[in-house]
Amino acid sequence: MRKILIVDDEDDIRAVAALCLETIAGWEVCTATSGSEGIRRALETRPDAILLDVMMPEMDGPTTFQHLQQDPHTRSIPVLLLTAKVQGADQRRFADMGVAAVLSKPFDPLTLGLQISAALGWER
Amino acid sequence: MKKLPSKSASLNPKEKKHAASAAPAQSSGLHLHTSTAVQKPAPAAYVMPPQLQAALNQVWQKSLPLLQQRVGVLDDALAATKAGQLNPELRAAAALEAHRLAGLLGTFGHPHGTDAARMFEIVFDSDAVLTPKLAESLSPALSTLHTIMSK
Repeated sequence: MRKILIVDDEDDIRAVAALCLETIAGWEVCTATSGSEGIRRALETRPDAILLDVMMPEMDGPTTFQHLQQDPHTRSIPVLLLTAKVQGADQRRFADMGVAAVLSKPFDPLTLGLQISAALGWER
Repeated sequence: MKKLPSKSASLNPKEKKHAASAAPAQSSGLHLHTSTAVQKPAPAAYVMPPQLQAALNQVWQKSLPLLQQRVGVLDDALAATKAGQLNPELRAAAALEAHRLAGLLGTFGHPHGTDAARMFEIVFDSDAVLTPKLAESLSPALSTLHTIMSK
């Protein structure tokens, strides 16, 4: 079973994403409410992928991603950024950081798992 | 909460492929009068299990007070703008709350809510001088958000 870590400071986003990925995709889901907690949870749980919100207080998604990249224990975990930023320049900047994919908010609850699988080349 | 498609049919590989490519629409040019990154609705063949629908409804109901607070910030910002009294703190708060609403409402089946919130985000996050006339043009978007919050 795939295990995915959702890092988002918004309760409702975490709740919906977790529901969909557990119910539709059938994955194990763990969550974190901040970048720093996300780093800790990534070390503890060693997920197969991390769904990481861009805009968070204290430590934003890109900074969290950089920390994950610097740690040899988390460097190889694919990270998908989740963002409501719709401008092309933002999307390109995020993609250029080396993340596995940039997914847009609002996401479709029915196809979120499929989007993640497609981005990571996972068999369903 | 708007009910999402719930036809009972399983996904075949072709449908899965289609779904995987049906990522939210992107727009590189943001304009007040255009639809932005509202994703396409799920294909009708997709299954919304009743349990998931019920669970999503519960999340919506639980989130509603907070979402209403966020719309309230937009109310305040718009009123202040119309009165020529918008301060930078309220403007920044409105831009942030609009951003959050835009990123969420579509997920709950309210793409028009995402559109409306995105208009606020674009305006309040810009460097534009906010005039009462510009604020007036946002009133329909605010009405849309209030309508959604009352459902």
